[in-house]
Amino acid sequence: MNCEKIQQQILLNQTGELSGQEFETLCNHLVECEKCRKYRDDIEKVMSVARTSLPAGEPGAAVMAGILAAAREESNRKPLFFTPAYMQWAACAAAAVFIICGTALWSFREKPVSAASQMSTIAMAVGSEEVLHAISQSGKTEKDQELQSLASQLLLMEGFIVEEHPAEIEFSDAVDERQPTALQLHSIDAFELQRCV
Amino acid sequence: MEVTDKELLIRYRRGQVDALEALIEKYRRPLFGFIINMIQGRDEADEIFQEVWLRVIRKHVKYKHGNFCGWLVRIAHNVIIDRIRRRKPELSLDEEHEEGLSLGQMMQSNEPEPATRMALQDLSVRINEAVNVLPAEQKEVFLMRVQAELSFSEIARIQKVSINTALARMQYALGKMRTILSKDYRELNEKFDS
Ligand SMILES: [Zn+2]
Repeated sequence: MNCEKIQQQILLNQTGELSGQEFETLCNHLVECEKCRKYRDDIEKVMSVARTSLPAGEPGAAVMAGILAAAREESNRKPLFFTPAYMQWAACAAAAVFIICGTALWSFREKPVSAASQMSTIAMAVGSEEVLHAISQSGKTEKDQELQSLASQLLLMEGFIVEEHPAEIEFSDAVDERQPTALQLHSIDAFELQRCV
Repeated sequence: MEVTDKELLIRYRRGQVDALEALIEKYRRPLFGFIINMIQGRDEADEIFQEVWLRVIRKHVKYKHGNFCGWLVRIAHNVIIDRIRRRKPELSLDEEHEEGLSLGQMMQSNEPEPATRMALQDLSVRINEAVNVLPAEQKEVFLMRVQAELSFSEIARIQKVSINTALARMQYALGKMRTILSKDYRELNEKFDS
């Protein structure tokens, strides 16, 4: 390890931020390297002298009195939990948590990731105009039918005509949300899509 | 058994002002030492020290865990930046953190006057001078480390930089001080050997 890195480790060692392995490396280096030993000794001296030499001073008595007066005033106030603002905030937070949890539980009640990811994959397919066909002859479930219907609506909204043939989308769990892959959209017979605008 | 900072803060939350007083006393020296060396003005250091504790009083619920002194120094850092920005509003905090420049630019006016330099004589005064001519970011790292005894991860968090940047700033600071103080090393060595 080079001396510059070791000198950083000397600093980290002073604050106890070295791992056991790093500490061992440091020790081994210091045994062999006089330059780094000198660096360590020098900076220890500089820091030690600075610690005692730099102005320390004390805040003025009026400052301390002012802080304590403010502290007393603050602690004499009504507890935070019962202020109207806090109660309002707490009510909003509780409502938000309820809505978020409810939504999450509802959407994740079955096959959560696959459904959401597939819809985004389809949306991307529409955007790219390249991958417009997602087909397979097998594995159709009730949920897949729902999704296929949603996908058709989405495609129509985007200006495509959807002609359904007897084939469907196969939904895989291994979804890369950024780019439709052959695994996700594999076959070109199920939908024939044309621009209608 | 020693009462922890967290316990003292909980006591203050329950209305025991003397618990806060104990905290102020405990961190008076490192905090005030950091502030007065960053600012170089007694009155302003008093004001900043007071502002830090007023923010603690108002925001103590925000303290969860970790080094309490580090939290205080972080507040002090923010108070100092706020003040400098008020004085020189054209300088942005983002620039400071991204470019590593503007805090230095902002604090250039703190360099000692030539007349003051003439008066510098003994080693401790020269060390003080050496610290004061450091660029502000390096000086702050040095003071956070030496005065407030913060770890590099805490310093990095406060300055919103990587730990390597914090380390590099400390290395630069120490390097410059070693150079400036090279003539004094004999004196330093004597001081330490005795
Ligand atoms: Zn070395």
